[in-house]
Amino acid sequence: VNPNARQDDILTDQLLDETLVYDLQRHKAHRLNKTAAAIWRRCDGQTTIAELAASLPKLGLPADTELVKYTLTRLEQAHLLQERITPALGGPWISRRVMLRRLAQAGTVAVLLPVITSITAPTPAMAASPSCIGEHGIVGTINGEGDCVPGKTPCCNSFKPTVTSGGCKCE
Amino acid sequence: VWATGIAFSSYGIRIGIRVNAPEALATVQRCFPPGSKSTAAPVVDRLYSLRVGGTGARRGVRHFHQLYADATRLVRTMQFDEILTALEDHLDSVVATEARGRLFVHAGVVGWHGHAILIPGASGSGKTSLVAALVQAGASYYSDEYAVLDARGRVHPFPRPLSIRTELGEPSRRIRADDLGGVAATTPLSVGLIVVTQHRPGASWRPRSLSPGQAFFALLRNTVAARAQPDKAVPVLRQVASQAPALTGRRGEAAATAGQVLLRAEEMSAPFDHNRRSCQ
Repeated sequence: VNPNARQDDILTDQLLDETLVYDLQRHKAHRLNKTAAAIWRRCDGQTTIAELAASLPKLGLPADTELVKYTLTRLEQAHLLQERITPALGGPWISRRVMLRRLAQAGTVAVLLPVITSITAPTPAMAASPSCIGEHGIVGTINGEGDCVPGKTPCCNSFKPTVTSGGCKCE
Repeated sequence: VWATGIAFSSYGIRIGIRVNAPEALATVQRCFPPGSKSTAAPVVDRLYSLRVGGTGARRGVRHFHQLYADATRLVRTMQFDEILTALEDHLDSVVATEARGRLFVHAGVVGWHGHAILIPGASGSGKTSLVAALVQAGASYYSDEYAVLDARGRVHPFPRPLSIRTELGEPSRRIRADDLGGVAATTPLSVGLIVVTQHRPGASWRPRSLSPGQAFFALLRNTVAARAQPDKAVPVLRQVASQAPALTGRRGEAAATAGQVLLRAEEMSAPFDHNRRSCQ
């Protein structure tokens, strides 16, 4: 199965090196760094994982199929692929830490690691709340980088929260 | 039962209010969002109904004041001030969510040397106290609650009086910009600086730069109509995030931070190049 980037019900925009994607179905916004965006854009359903890997040196990355699989896993988690691809990829899954080590061994700088950052777009009530809504709808607090760090706040009462292992989730 | 009413238009939304007591009409008009214009339109998008209570015809009987938005009762109370607060809050919320041609972001906004300083943040993040300190330091007042953005990313005034929190559970005090020695702005400005901050007692403001993408997220998570109108919100926020540098960091007391913010805004008011940003 070749990966195919989702085209329907999304808005995309470019902001310098980052690509912004807004998921109109799930009301989530994603930021893709240059590497993640480049791989995502090449997912046309025709290009194989090996071919995707072969294109990585243009970005200053090693032609590593594991790096492509790592990126595809994250793209799938963000619902930015048309079909699920991880079952076909097989395991084991490479963690971010391991991937960073592999890149370091290949002499590649860590900023080229594919990164997808996501938040849930707020409802009007959420926008007025002092908490933020992070990935997977988990309530959190905003860290020094301006990102939403989940699970650091108690449940808010205003949005029918459910407690999950990751923290408090607002519906 | 309804003695009189009035219709007005605010950011393209037609709103009607009817009351059972004519003398209440002048009072409720003070709750209208800034820039509202009266209209003779017979059809409105939202209809509020205010039933003024008080002493009844029978001895010893008092009626509640009641406020409805369309068919939904918003509040039932003996305190008329609570009716006005609920009406103002609901009107602001409706306008912020449904405004046509404008995007509302929860943010404090001031003008400084021809550019706007935008401080996105939810209620309780300390926007108002920082805005008040900035106005006292000479900035012009745009809003302590909403940044009203147009399609070009310019911010327009939404100059309700500042709502200063008092003791927990007590109603907020309303203070006009001129009571702080400042002026309320009347013209739109392009955004010159985005400041993402939260108050923490004892902290000193040592901000770091945010990437445009991080700034975009900081704006999006405070955008009232983010879900309702993403096709409108995304390009406007992208425009603002790309044109203005953004700083983040916890701050201490507002008065001490205000001078630093204005200084940074001056430094960054030159045409901004994101590629030359530096972290500090």
